[in-house]
Amino acid sequence: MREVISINVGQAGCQIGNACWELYSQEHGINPDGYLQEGLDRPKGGEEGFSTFFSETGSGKYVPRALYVDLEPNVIDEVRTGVYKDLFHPEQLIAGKEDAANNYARGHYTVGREILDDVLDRIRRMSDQCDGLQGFLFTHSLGGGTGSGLGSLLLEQLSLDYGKKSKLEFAVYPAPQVSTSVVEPYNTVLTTHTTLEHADCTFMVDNEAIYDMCRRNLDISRPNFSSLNNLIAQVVSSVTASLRFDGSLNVDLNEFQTNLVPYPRIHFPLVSYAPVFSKTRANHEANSVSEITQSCFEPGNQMVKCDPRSGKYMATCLLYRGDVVTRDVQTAVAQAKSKKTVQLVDWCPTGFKIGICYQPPTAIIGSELASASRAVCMLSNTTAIAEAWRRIDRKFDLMYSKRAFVHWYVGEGMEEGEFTEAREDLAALERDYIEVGTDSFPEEEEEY
Amino acid sequence: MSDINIFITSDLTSSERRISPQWNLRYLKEKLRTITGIEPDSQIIKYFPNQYSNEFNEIKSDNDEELLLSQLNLKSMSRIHVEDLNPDSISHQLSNDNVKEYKYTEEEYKTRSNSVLNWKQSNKLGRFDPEYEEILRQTQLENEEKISKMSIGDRCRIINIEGERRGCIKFIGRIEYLDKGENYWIGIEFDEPVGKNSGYMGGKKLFDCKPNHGSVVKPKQVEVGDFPELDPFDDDDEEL
Repeated sequence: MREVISINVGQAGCQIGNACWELYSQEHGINPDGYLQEGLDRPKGGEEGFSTFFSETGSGKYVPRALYVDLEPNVIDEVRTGVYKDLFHPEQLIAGKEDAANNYARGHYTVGREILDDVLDRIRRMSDQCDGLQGFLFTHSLGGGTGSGLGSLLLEQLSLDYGKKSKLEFAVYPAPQVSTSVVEPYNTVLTTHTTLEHADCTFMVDNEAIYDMCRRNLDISRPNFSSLNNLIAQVVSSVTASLRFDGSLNVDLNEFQTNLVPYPRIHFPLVSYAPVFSKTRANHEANSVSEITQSCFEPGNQMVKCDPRSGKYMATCLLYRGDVVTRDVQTAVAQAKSKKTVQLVDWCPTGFKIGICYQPPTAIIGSELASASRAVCMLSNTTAIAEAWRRIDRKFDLMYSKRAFVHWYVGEGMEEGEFTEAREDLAALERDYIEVGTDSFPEEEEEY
Repeated sequence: MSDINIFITSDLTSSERRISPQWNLRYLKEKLRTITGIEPDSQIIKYFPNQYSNEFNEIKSDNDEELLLSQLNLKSMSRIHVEDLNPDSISHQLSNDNVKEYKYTEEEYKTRSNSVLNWKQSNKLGRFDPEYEEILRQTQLENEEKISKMSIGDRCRIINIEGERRGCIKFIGRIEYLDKGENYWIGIEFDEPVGKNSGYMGGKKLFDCKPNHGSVVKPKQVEVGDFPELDPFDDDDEEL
């Protein structure tokens, strides 16, 4: 068996975790109490894939291989008392008493450090139950105190304790326009610096991009966290579908890294998803393999706001699910490749990797997203995502040049040198992306 | 009582937060400080029962410790906006944008061992690949040879994804605006309005040309020869 342990850290991480596990349960035919839905004699989609994400107790109950960690108790208390309270073992839900106050240093050094041993202990116990642990799937935000501080602390520790096991992240990246807290740029730069060498592959979602998608495509006039998280869960589910369902093409966590990451630091693929339609629109929209593939190249379907037409592609994975035949996929991919706006880096091997999982997507009950017979999630390692780093680096500079709020961090025992060290690392990351984008042979087919 | 989801906004921030009705006003102000960066003593707290409406009332008390939020009847999905009384505060300073950007020099980057540059160098990728220079030189030679056989006024054609287009060479040379003068470009006036420009590049006139009849392309694409103007109705006749 090839188990994957999910670790949800901080408020955003835990809430996205909730949406994901609710969706996974529905997809596999598991009731909120952990038992199979009536009429099923085994989980949907094949037991082998299923067991990478769920473990089975002797009594026929299934338990997610997941851990929830938050420094303050409220979000976790909601899991403990919510609809899915019986799905999880109490040991899987770890909450502290005092929050990180939006401060990376509190999550990483002071408050977070206090519960670290406890968390590592629980992870150890979960991994002991695995026959062949593949790795870890993190969900956390980069801007919050717990998500950034404790999240990066855990990633560091897992590197020490579990060596080469894969570590993938789904990370909520700060929205371009407004910050959720005044020190969000600090937290983001600090956590990115700390995790850069520990995470193998990081999929970013920016709340503003998701927010716009909810308004534009799902006709939700005032999206809240719950609408955003349901959509994010759908994307996470697409990425993990090939691991969870038997008979899919790529089935290993480390394949994401193998296929998408040419050089370890360049590990932030841009994620796009299609179709995203509301129930009222669904009947009026065509949804062929070719159309959903084309949609993935439109900025409106991206999880991070940036312009891929201005960048170069290093690698692309197209993960289809549902009613899809290989021939249609080949045609769609050929169309995509012939697009003038899709420019490849031509000094290193690049490729389009295809994954097909025949299990169609499931709509979360109560979600505005219409169910579809097929969907596609595109993961593309493009230099365009460097835009996101440039944006956050400028915001960091605006604050740090005035040394604004630095004392909040120093007061928690963090050394001020860590700010400059982190900022330098991010400056180098910007350079890295520029370096990836240069040295392509001059285009001979341009016309102006 | 369970938490209430409320939008917290300030000049610099906007976020959906969970507020517990059990908190007192003093505790709320502490929370707002870590979110907005505004010191509790300088906070003006405006409560908007409807987050999209302009109607608000100010939350204040003579004794912050005694005022429990549960007394305020806060609604889910409402909005709390925080303003800063202190004109010299750091959050006010951050609102006016003079960014001193972090400077990171080419030299500093070159000294890093874990960089894409270093990786390319040690694996002979991109411009560090001996063949790379060779291919570039070759392309340039080919282009120069082609250009030597072209003159202004020559008839020519281009065949690509858009089909065959015929026209007349109007310009041969470098264009600062396109690629800082790095490559040679050929300006063509097509017989039909099937071009990308009208003889102008970056506001500067390159050649005389009817509107939308002009394009500039790389020499490699251009084929010079006896290509008279096509009669657009010719083909149709043959097919009939």
